[in-house]
Amino acid sequence: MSDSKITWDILNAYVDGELDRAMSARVAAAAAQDATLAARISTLSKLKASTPGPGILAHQISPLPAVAKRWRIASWRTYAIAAGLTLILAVGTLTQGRRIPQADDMWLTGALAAQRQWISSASQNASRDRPIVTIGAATAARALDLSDADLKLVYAATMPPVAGSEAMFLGYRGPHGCMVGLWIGAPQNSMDSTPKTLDAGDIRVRAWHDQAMGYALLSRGMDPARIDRLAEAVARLTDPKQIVDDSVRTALRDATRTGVACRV
Amino acid sequence: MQSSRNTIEIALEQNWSRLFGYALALTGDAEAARDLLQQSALNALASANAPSDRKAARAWLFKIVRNAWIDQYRRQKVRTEDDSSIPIEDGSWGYEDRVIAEITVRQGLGKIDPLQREVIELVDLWGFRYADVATVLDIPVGTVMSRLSRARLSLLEAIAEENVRPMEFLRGQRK
Repeated sequence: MSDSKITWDILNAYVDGELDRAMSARVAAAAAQDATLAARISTLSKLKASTPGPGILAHQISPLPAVAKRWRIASWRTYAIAAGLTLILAVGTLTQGRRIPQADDMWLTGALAAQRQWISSASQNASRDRPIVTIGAATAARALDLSDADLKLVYAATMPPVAGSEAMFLGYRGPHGCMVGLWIGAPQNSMDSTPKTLDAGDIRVRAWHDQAMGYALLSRGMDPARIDRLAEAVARLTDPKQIVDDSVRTALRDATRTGVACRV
Repeated sequence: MQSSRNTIEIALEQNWSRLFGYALALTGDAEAARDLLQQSALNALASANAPSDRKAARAWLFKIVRNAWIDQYRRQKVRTEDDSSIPIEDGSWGYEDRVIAEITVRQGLGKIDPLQREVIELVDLWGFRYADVATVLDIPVGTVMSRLSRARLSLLEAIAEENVRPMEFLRGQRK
């Protein structure tokens, strides 16, 4: 080799176009005088060109999630408006502020079914939740970040329409496996402006609404005091009039220290 | 934050099939790749550290997929050490260009260390620059350079050991 400082690493970088102009010229000049060097460059070039594609069949690719119409929010503080707008834009059937008079028990039935379905699907394969997500849904979920309560979003599903109103179900997991569902849809007559207990069987439910949206927190096995505190904190998070400051985040954190640990 | 969110949504749209290909390469299974990609999309959109630059977003999304894969599938198996810091001696090796073809490279890639295969695919298949690969793998650019050069050497050795030869080469031998 005429230029002993041209290493194998440098030859690779040369073939990848990663060298600056001066170094590239130096390699080219050296290769012009050194057949071994030129052969290695040829080998690397052919190797690079022969890297096969991933062999993806079109039907294997999961569909690109539908992107809801994008909306603008000024900051994380307007999360609740964002979540509401996302649902409205993604689903397109909600009417802000309008109650759904005939569907009060149906929304709860749907929310409970979603919670049970999520628990069931997760228990069948304990290692994985299987999120069904649209980008719009996930974006809404981002606005409802519950990480301060040690709850990580792992599941998101849109729900079939009930009485012309669609809703969304988000699933969060705690560090020890506790599963907390959050139903978001139209405001319902059975909801108050502060979290209200609507337990059904083994599932604890706390539901509330603001001017635009209805919310319900669901969990099986969570201490009643803990879900009360958690619902209060999430209600503050979803209140568009509420300024999200450290006190809200502290409330979320405090909820995790209230009562006994979740029984999974 | 809104700007970076839009950037990530757009980047997800534009790179969806590539990200699926990457997920498929990591998992080796289409269903697992779909799950991995869904989880990665959630993670990306929920991240507070998303880049607002569109170019950077692509590499960042690959990194998100890779991290999700590590979390889900091989937390216990990811090697934290590699041999990138060991210098390659300037031997007198040479390889027969005629045996290098898509089929032999595919088989060779299946034989080398997954960490090495990954860096080759990021550069040669997905077209990332070294700096982007450094972002995806969360390693210094210099390590990318050395890991890649070792990976290609391993690949050439694997190809040389293969029994399979491209058709043109076989025809040439029969003459």
